[in-house]
Amino acid sequence: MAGREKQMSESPSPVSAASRRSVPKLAHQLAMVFDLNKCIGCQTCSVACKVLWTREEGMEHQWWCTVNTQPGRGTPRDWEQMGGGERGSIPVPGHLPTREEFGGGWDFDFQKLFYGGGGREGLRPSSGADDWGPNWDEDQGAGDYPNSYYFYLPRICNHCTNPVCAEACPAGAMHKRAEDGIVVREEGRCRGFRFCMEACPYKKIYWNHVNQVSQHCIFCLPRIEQGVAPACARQCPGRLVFTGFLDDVEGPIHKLVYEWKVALPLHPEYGTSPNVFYVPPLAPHRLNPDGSLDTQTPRIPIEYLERLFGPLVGGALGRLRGEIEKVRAGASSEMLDTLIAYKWSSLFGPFTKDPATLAGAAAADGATEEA
Amino acid sequence: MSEQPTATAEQRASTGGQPTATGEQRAATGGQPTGRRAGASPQAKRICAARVEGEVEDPRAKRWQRLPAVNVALHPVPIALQPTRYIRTAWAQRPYGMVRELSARAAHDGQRLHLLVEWVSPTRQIAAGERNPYGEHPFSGPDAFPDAVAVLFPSGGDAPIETMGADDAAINMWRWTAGVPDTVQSLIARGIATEQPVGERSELRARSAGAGERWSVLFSRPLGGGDEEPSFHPGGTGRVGFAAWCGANQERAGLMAACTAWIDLELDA
Repeated sequence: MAGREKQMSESPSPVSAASRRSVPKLAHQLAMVFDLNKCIGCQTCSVACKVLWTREEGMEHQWWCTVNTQPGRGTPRDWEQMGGGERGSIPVPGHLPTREEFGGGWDFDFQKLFYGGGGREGLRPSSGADDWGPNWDEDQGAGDYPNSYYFYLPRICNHCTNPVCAEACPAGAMHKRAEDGIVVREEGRCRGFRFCMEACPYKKIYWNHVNQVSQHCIFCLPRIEQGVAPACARQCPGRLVFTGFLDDVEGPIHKLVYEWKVALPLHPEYGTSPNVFYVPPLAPHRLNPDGSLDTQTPRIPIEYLERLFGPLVGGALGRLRGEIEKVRAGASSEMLDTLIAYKWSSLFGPFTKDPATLAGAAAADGATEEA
Repeated sequence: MSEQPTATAEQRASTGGQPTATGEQRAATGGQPTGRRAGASPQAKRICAARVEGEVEDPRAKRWQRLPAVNVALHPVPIALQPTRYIRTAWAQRPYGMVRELSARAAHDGQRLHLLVEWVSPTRQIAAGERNPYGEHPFSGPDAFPDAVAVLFPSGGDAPIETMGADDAAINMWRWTAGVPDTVQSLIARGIATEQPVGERSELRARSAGAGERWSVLFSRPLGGGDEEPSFHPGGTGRVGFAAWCGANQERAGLMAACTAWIDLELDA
């Protein structure tokens, strides 16, 4: 076995080399920051994406943007136990999620659903297993009243700096764009092998059984190319989704990630260097049995947050609390002002154009927005 | 002869000996790829395409059972030959290449070459109209892969079978894939996962019959080839190979079993 591994490492195949070439030197890297302290779990981002990208037959179960309650099993169900990614630069075998693990994609008898006549049975989906869906365990969370806790976690493709999906593809159908680091798939070259789905540790790649290709979030590439922020970011009522270039040192993402160090990748131990970052959730103080505040014990166990965001999460939360205290004491905080996003367009870096102003705007999301 | 059912035709093919049994005798002995273990038989060296008249394009036609079957041993393509680092690592401890043997019969009628390939797969076969709880085909799920088989021909040079050809040595692949409907394509491959449809419209067709865990797929193509497809001539000789993917084991791309050497394909005059 050792000999075989040695041979493998010393004799990379031509296709493997081609895959590595699919990660060029980047001019820029697009990135997002989700401020989890502002996410209200409204699913507007999920629906904005669904409406724009995954409405065709074969995409029923596809939700390129999902929002799940944490702690929870996520989507696809128990995705964090499905492997993929890399440990110490060695690929980790991954599980291909099943249709049942994705769940959802239900159809209904809408006549009965909307106008009655079917009793309780009329509320059930007319097709599809009715024991799991993409947001099945919403608001369940963990802990016991009055110290129960939960928060919402929006997820899209992380457009990783180390895109193990692209490297796993024997057809060379995926690559990172040199100009902005978006991981794209040439569907004409996709052969439906689904090694990308196996290799992705975030399980953010979906199978289209009608077109026989895998598909994933493309960072709203056609919008980006016209200066419009992705739909999930622009439609977010909570103003919590920052879009921009990670390498723009004047931009909010660079500051949140590198300068203030309050935005962290999800599961950094998966080894893919995600380019979606999260401001971890603070939570209200716990209550003691007598009803007084317990200011010493975090409501959300730090061990749980470390499991999601890595060992740096405690420091990030400490810096957030420090800034909050600073403002309470009367000082100002650029970090908090940035996170509050007083000016809506400040969330979107160079991608502030209103899609309704584009030529052919009828095909865009048509949203009317005000800064 | 009957106590060694499948060896007769294969031995004849492997040793180059002349047929001694009548078609009916051979039919009685079967030539089915059942129960034989991998490695139990030597690699077949020759398949004879008998000259036949009349209708042969039904894989269940009894006349096929009267033609000699050659059992072809298949072997998993070595892990080191898999095309990406992920596959080489993730599948290193996972068995694949589960179809270790298939049976092949060949015939021609002066116009078309017919190849009947039969094998046993653990994949459950789907009844017409069967749907999963989502109203979709039962094998439409992201973790489901179809059974598939390929008949291979070197387009030129000494193309390596296990890597599905090479940059300078293409392979013409007749690939049949189970599904609703089944599909058959004539492809050109210059490496694993590089296959593309042949440039010109191929007149390749296939008919399949499945029962239980057993597949029968009958390929048929005019003898004349094209720029990328080999030509065959009555009385002539070509080379042929085989590969199979077990869908139930999520086999696809280079995760397959293939024969390790080309087999002569001799057409009766």
